[in-house]
Amino acid sequence: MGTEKGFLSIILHAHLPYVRHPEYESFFEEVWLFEAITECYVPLINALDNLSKDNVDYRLTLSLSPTLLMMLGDELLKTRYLTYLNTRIELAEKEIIRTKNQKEYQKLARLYRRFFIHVRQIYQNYNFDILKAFKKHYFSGRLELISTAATHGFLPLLNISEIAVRNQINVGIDTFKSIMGFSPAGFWLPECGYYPGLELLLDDAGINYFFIDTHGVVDASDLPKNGIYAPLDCGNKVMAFARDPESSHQVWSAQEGYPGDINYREYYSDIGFELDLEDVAPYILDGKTRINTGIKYHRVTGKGQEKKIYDPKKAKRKAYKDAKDFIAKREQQIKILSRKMNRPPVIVSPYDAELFGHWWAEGIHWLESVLRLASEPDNQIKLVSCKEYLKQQKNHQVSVPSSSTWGDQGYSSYWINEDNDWIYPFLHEMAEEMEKLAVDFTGVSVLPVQKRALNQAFRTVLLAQASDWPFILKSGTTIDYATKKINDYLARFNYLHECIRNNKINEHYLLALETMDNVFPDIDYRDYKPVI
Amino acid sequence: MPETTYDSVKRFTSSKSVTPALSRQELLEVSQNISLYFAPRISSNNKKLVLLSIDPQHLYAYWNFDDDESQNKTPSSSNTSDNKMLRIYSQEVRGDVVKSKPLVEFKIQGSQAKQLISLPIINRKETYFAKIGELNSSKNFIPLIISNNTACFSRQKKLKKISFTDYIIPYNNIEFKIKEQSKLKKTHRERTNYSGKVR
Repeated sequence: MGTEKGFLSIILHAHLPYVRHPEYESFFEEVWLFEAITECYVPLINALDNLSKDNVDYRLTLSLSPTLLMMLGDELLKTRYLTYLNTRIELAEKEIIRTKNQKEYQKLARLYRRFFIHVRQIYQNYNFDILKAFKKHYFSGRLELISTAATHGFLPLLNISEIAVRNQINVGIDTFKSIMGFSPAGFWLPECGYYPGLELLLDDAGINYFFIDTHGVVDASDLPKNGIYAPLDCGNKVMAFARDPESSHQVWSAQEGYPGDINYREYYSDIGFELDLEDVAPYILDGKTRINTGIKYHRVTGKGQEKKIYDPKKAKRKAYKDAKDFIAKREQQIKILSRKMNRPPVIVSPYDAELFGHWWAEGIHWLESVLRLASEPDNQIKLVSCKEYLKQQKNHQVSVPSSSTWGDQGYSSYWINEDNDWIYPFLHEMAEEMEKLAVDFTGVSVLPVQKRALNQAFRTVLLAQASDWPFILKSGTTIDYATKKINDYLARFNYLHECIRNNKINEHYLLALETMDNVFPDIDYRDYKPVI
Repeated sequence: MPETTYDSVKRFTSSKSVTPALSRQELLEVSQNISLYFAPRISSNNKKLVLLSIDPQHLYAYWNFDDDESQNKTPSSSNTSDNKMLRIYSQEVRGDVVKSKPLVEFKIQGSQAKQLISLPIINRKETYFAKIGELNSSKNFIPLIISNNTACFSRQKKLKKISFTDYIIPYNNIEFKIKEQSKLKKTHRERTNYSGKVR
């Protein structure tokens, strides 16, 4: 690592809530996972494979949430995923026939067919194990893997119980360790939700660094001498890296961001909504409810214009051009920043992984190009992981960041408002009752079936705490599903609680709950006992 | 093109079963029965007042306690259901001295169990807590329940313009345009909300 350059650290955060439903033959929300695998995770693996093959010395950080890790390794979901993928290939084949008189559309249908087959091939090459692929790249030293809270609980609103927050962190890390085989050095705070004091729990869990939004560092307890372009030591050697607004804006912004370009594929133009029902019936929900199929023929086009047909080659060229622009802007940024700073600046650019490939079809190609361009020796940028940066750069400014999130308005209002506030009395009470169970059943003789019920109660508490449910209730997307998920978890906890307290455990019911909510197999209810 | 199924490939390589020990129907019945008979409820025995921080200007309080019990415990109060108040306090710690002062109060209406609180003063060194109490006949506040403490969010610094150079020295007198930031996130979210996938 040379001292003349500035650094760029790109972080992708991959997360989905636990959407596994063995009680149904198929379940709509499982498609969220299947779409993400098809359009984001496998294409990302393909890009990393390409970079490796070409010996590009890139650096990228990927945060994998524990719920996602569990789902990616789940046998039932793997089986269902392949069925999903096979039906996409079948649909693309039907589209090739249907579009025989529309050559431009047929070309795209063929492209989709090739794409789905390629995804299946990559998936099969890794023995249907996506995590194996990520591990391979981690051990190459170029991909840094980190994790997040167990079920992506929104920690600032859980922190009336320290043990609730501690368990979100610890179970998350333990799950990552047991699946990936090593400890993560970094931690993705769900929704970048930070409050002073969280760094102590992260330290206890062996975490070296985490990410916060820009204003978390801007408003730190002491003026940050290097602004947001150097991490802060929170006072206990746990480092906080702040999000760079400039590079975020270039990718996130709907108006000025890259993904809104007229040449890129239009996410909302999908044959699931556009074709006659009879053409898509076998590939939508119950043959009646229109959903996305993944086959999209149009580009963003201009405002108010009829959508024009998608030209993948042109879109790819544009993605490369945007990657060059991104790198040029970072070089410019580094040039200016390094004149004003007492150390090389580090630009931290975190994004949701699913933006790439899924929302922004060309996003993976853009990312691969960015990593290639940034790795060229003659530019002013050095790609870095935060772990590497911390090894290289010592003596960081000590200052405690301020409470902040990366959500709308920058604080907690998206997760507590008139649409979702009803969940918190339940979540807090559930955590409190779990704490009492842990206290009462620690240090006493417990039957194996009681232990199973207590551990299942613990799993249920964690699943109910996911930040996804209040987020969906506010965003208004799939409110019925989020409401049902929370109510089901609360009911399951009530049931387990009553069984445990009355010492009447129905093993059939317990087995059913263990089968449906089969997360975190190594969990131990005694960990919910408060730390004194 | 022959179909690839996970089962067919994994049959020889994995001992794990993809078939649950219970049938789908059995799982569904258990799920439905539990949801029907154990629907969420807040225990009325669990008295509490909880205060949460939303942002630098807002707190949120919710509470749960038995009205009759609280009246019994405060014989000095009169006509209590009309006089119940939620009072928010700020608390500042200077060395060993803890100073608390009431900031704002709300009259609690009937079965009301939550309140959004707009803070009149923002001081980054303060924490907050709340009390619910009743005014007795002498208009004295008799506390019935006290909340947790919650740390406030810090005051926002202000940037004059949005440019990355504003995020480094010189830092004084710069205006942090948080609204621009929020707008940016919102537009992203508006674009990217898909069938419940959340970012």
